[in-house]
Amino acid sequence: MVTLDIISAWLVWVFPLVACVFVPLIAKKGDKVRNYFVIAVAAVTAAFAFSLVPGIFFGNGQPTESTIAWIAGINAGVYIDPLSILFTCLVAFFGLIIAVYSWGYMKGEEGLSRYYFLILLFIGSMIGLVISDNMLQMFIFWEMVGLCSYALVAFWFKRPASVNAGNKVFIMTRIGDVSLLAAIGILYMSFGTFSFHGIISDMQSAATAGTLNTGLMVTVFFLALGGAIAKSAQLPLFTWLYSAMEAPTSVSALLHAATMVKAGIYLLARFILIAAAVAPLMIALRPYWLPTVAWIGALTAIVGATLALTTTDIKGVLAYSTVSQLGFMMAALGSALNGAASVGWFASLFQMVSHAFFEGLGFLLAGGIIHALGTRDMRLMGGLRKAMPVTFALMVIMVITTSGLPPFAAFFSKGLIITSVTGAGYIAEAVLLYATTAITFAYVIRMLSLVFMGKESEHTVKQHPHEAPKVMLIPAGILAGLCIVWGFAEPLVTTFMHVNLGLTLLGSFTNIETPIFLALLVPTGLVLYWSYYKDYMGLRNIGGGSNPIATMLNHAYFFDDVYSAIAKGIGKFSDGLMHADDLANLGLNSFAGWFVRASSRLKKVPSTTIQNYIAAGIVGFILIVVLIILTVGV
Amino acid sequence: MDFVILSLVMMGIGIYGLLTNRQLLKVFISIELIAIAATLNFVMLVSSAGQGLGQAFLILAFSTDTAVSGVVLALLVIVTKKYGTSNINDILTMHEKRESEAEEYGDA
Repeated sequence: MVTLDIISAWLVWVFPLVACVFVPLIAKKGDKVRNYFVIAVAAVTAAFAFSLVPGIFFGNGQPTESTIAWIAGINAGVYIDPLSILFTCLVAFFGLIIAVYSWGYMKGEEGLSRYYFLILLFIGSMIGLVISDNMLQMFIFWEMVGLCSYALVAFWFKRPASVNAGNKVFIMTRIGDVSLLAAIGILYMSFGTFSFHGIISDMQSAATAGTLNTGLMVTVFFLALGGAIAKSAQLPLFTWLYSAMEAPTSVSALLHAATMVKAGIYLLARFILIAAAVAPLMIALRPYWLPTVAWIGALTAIVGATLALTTTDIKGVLAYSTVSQLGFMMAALGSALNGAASVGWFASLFQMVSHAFFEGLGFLLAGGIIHALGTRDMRLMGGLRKAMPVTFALMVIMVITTSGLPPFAAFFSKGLIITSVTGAGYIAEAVLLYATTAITFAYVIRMLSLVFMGKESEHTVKQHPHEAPKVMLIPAGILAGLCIVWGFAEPLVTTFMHVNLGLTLLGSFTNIETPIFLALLVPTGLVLYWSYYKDYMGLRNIGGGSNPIATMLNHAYFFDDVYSAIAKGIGKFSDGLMHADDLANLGLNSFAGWFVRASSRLKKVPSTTIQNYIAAGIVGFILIVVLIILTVGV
Repeated sequence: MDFVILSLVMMGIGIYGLLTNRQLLKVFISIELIAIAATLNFVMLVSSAGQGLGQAFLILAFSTDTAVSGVVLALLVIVTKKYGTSNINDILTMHEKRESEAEEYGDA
C-alpha cells in the first residue's frame, strides 16, 4: 500500500537529485534566482524529511519498505525505520542551513553554479545513502558522496593546495570503499540478495537451521568496519579530514562535520541492527569485533583531541575535534553488546546529532572569522570579541557544548557514551575517553582565547574586522539554540528511536559521570585561562619547541609521513622497474637491430636484373612443389 | 575459469605499464587496459551465467568508457600543448614551481 510516508521517502532523495540538474540552467536567469531556487529545493527536501517524523514517532518502530523493480533480481527501494529517518532529517535540515549560509559565505566567488549543483547532488546522494533498502544502492550513493566530497574540496581548482587535498581525500577514502565492496560481495554470494530485509531473514533462517557461517559473517563485519574507518576518519586513516579543510568552510560544515563523515557511523549502526536480529551473530561479534570498534574509537578520540590542541589552523582545530568526536561515537557503537537494546547504540546516534549541531556551529562561526580576518592562522588572531560580539557569544555556546559541560547537548550524549563504555566493561577505553574530555575542554578554551580574548593583535587591527552578515549569523544562531535544547529532547528521541533503555533526564545529572566531568573540566579550563592571561606563550605555541612530543604532534603522529614513505617507496619501485624495462628494451632493440643490419646487408646483394627475379621465382616454385609432395604425398 | 586468468594477465600488463611509463598517452593506454580487463571479466562471467541483461549493461559500460576516453584524450592534448611535454615527471615539477609561486595567494 502506498502511503503518504512512502511517497515522501521516495521524493526526499529523488527531488534534490533531479533538481540539481536544473541549477546551471536556472543560473542563466541570474545569481539571485539561482540562490532562491537552491534554498527552495533544500527547504522542500527538509519538509519531505520532517513529514516522515510523525509516522515513526507514533509508529511501532518496525521498518517499512517500498521497492520497485530495478535490475532483474535486484530491487531499488526505500527503507523507513527510526535510524534512516533520524539521518534523513539531519541531512535535510543541515542542507537547508548550509544553502542559506552559502549565500553569505560564498558571495562573489566564481563557479557558484558548480558549487550549488554539487551541494544539491550531495544532499540527494547522502539522503539516498541512508534511506536505501539494499546494499548495492547504498554503495552507489556511498561513492557519490565521496565524489561530491572530492569535487567540493577541490572547489578552488586554481589553488594547487585545494587540488592536492581533493586527491588525497578521494584516494584515502577509496581504501575503505574497496573493503566495503568486498563485504557487500561476500554477503551477496552467501545470501543472493542485497536488501537489508532479505539478508536479515536469510540469516535468521540459516541460524535456526544451524548453517550460519558466523566466522565468515564476522569477516564481513570487519570489512564493513574498514569502510567506516576510511569514511568516518578513524585511526589509522584520519589524516584526510585535516587536508579536507582546504574546502570552503560551508562545505566543511556540511560534509566534513555534520553529515558525510557520519556515513561510517550509519553503516556500523545499520550492521549492528542487522546483527541484533540474529542472536548467534551478535554473540560471535562480542569477542573480537565490538572490542576492536571500541578501541579504534577510544584511540581516535584521544589522538584527535591531542592534535586539536596543537594545530594553529582554526579549521584544523575543528577538523581534529570532529575526528575526536567521531571516535566517541565509534567507541559507543563498540559498547553496544546487545545491539539496539544497549545504551551504546542509542548514545552513539544521540552524540552524532549533537555533534552535528555544535561542530556545524563551530564551522559556521569560523567561516565568519576567516572572512573578517582573511587568514586561518589563530596565532594572528586575538581580541575579536569587541569587533564580533555576536560571533563571540555563539562561540561561547559552542565551546560549552563541545566540552560537555552541563546542561547543553553534548553533556547528555557524552555522559551516555561513557556510561555505556564503562558498562560494557571497557575500563581502559573509558579512561581514555575521560582523558579526552579534559583535552577537549583544553583545546576549545585555547581556540576561544587565541581568537577572541586578550588584546587585539596587529593583524586584527590591520584588517578592521566586522561582524558577519545576518544571512550567516542566523543559521549559526539556530544551531546554537539547538545545542542548548537538544540535550533536553533526550526522552523524545528515545521514543522516536523506539529504544527502551529506562533513561531519564535527571539520571544524567545524578550519574557518577557528572562529578568526574566537572572535576576534570574546571581545573583544566582555569589553568589554561590563567596561563593565557599570564602571557604564557606555551598555550600559543603548544606545538612549537623541539621536544619529542611536540615533534610527534606537529607531524600528526607521523601517519602522513608513513603514507608518503609508502608512496615514495612505490615511486622508487616504479622507477627501478622503468630502468629494468629500459634495459630489457635495450636488449630487444639490439636483437631487432641485428635483423635490421642483416636485412640491409642482404639489400646490397646485386639483384636488380629481371633474370635473377625469374630464377628466384622458379626456385621458390620448385621448393613449394617439393614441400607439398613431401607433406601431402603424390 | 580461463578468462579470469586472461583478465588477470591483462590487468598485470596494465599495472606494469603504469609503473614503467612516464608518457601521458602510454599511462592512459595502461589504464584503459586495466578497465578492459575488468570489463572482459564481467562479460565472461555474465555469459557463463547465461544472463542477457548483463551483456546489455556491458554495452552501456563500453559506451561510457568510450566517452570517458574521448574526454581524457582531449585533456591530454590540452596538457601537452600547455606544458610542451607529455612526460608526467616534467609536468609535476612544473606544477610544484607554480605552487611555490602561488603560496602567497592567501585563504578564503
